[in-house]
Amino acid sequence: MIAGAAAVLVGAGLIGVAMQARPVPPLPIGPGVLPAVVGLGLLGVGAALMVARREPHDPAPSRPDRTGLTGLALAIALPLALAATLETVGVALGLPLVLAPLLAWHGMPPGRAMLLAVAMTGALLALLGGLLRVPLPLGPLAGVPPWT
Amino acid sequence: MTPAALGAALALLLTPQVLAVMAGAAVLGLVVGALPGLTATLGVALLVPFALLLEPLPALAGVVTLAAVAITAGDLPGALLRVPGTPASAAYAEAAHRLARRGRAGLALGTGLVCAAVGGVAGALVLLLGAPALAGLALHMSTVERFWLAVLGLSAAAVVAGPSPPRGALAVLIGLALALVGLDPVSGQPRLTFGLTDLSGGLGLIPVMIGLFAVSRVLAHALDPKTDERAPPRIGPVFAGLGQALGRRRRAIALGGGVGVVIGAIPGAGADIAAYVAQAVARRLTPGRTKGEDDHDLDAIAPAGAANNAAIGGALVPATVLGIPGDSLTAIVIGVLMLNGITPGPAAFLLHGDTMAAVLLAFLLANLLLVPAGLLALALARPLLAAPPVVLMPLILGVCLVGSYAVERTTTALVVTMAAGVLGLLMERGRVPLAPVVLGLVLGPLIEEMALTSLMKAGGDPAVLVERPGALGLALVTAAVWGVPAVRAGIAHVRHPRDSD
Repeated sequence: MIAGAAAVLVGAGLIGVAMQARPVPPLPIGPGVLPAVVGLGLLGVGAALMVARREPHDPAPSRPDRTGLTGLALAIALPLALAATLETVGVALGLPLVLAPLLAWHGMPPGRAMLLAVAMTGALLALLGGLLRVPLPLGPLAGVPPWT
Repeated sequence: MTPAALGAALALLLTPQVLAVMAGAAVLGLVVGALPGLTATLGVALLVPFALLLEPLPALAGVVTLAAVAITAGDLPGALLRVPGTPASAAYAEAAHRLARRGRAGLALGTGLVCAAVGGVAGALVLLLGAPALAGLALHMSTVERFWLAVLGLSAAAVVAGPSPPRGALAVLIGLALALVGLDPVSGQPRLTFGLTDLSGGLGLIPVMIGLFAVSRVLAHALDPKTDERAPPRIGPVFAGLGQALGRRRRAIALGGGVGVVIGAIPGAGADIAAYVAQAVARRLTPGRTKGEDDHDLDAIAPAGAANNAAIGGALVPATVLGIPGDSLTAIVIGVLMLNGITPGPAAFLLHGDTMAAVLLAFLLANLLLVPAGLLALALARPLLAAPPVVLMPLILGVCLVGSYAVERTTTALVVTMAAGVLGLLMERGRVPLAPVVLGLVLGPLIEEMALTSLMKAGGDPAVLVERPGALGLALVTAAVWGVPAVRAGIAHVRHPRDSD
């Protein structure tokens, strides 16, 4: 029911986008064709899902508690904070600050969580930067690893 | 190929230098394939600077070995972490992960490995024996046929992937909607970019795939930590029941290999379409085998796994015979050939016949190496699964974030990854399958470009889409994919109204 309603809303939005797209002269078609088709499809599928009955063996999703919602907020907010600061802080300093609070949230002692987060980050950096030569932002630590 | 030419090619291939390069490339392929976010294409691109320092044959043998092993090694995170290594392996990553959570990861990966090897060998043999004929067939596919082939792939994904066709169709449409972000492929007008220049190239496939499959699982664990404690993935025995599982699916594996070779040979199509179409074809042509949950999941893995690797051999047909790259991977192979002084095309087989034959044999050998390489990867993966979910989940998140950044080199990729993770979480709670989203995202631009190009050539007349016999045939097959299950369900409803309720 909720998935169907969301599909109908997104479908209506895409049809709005399609109506604003300018066709490619001299033809009456252009960048609005696919958004219109996808939008109509979403309207149709959404309507079908809204009228469909829940099957008896369909398990209803469990209702999350406050602790779960806090954990979810943490798991979303910390990576987004990393995205906002990655170019400045770098992977070596930024990633442990994401991983350590998540490990601690799941019950690991804070000191051990920070140690493990730093070790995991070091292993990832050595593998990607050192072995595979994939350039990663290092922030203030640029030039410190032996492969840079 | 004459026996003398085969012998000459084998003599070129079976030298310590070539075999050592192939072994090294296989190890690199294992590392690249097993790391979420790093693709076979990226691995081959990393190998290019080294390939320039080598003779043509070891360089090309290394490239094809790395590609084959990396694509197969991508099944490992697919089964254990539910992070598909390639868009094609998204077709069966969920089935493999379900088996892993029932303690049958060994069987899932063993089946995938053997099917990949069989499919790859089939592709290599077709490449060796029938490349010119298949290339001719592929060249007859116009933009209209490619459009219908892509629509057929999406239809097959919608019908086979979900708990019901409407939910599968919703997943495909979500993928197509995500594919709308960026510049319109025909006119170049920005769409749904919200003024962000980073989005003008569209949503990156890797960040979306990582977000949908891996980050969504990390978020689900954060929301309800008991979920993973109930059924952590386990490898279990690899060979127990493998022979029986493969024997019962030999027709499905053969069909997957055939579908993979033919679809892989069509430029612009590829392993991702092949995997879903192979699943749909095998389900239709080999029905009545499924008995339990394990059988159901193995039925999804076998044909798609074979099609996945067979498509590489198929894609190498137009690449080597005509010099037309079927996908980004074969484009790099063509680049390595040219950097080594071999211009792909019919003349390459005349001027460098022994070398080209040896390269094709190297691809055959690489596919035979898949099974031992995969078993080595399984052995190395066992300690990873000993880690409790509270440690494993943040580790997965860290690998996902760094992997996304490594591929896209922009922090927007991290935001896209997290947004896709939230979308994946919501889809899972709504019982909407994830895999068809990937196919929708991959094929959206192709469908739009092929359809608009064909319509523009015909002055906007939609009849152009069904005028050619091949296009009409593919359109009818697509209609049958949707129509046959609907008619069957209708008949069942009329005959047994209570059961069908």
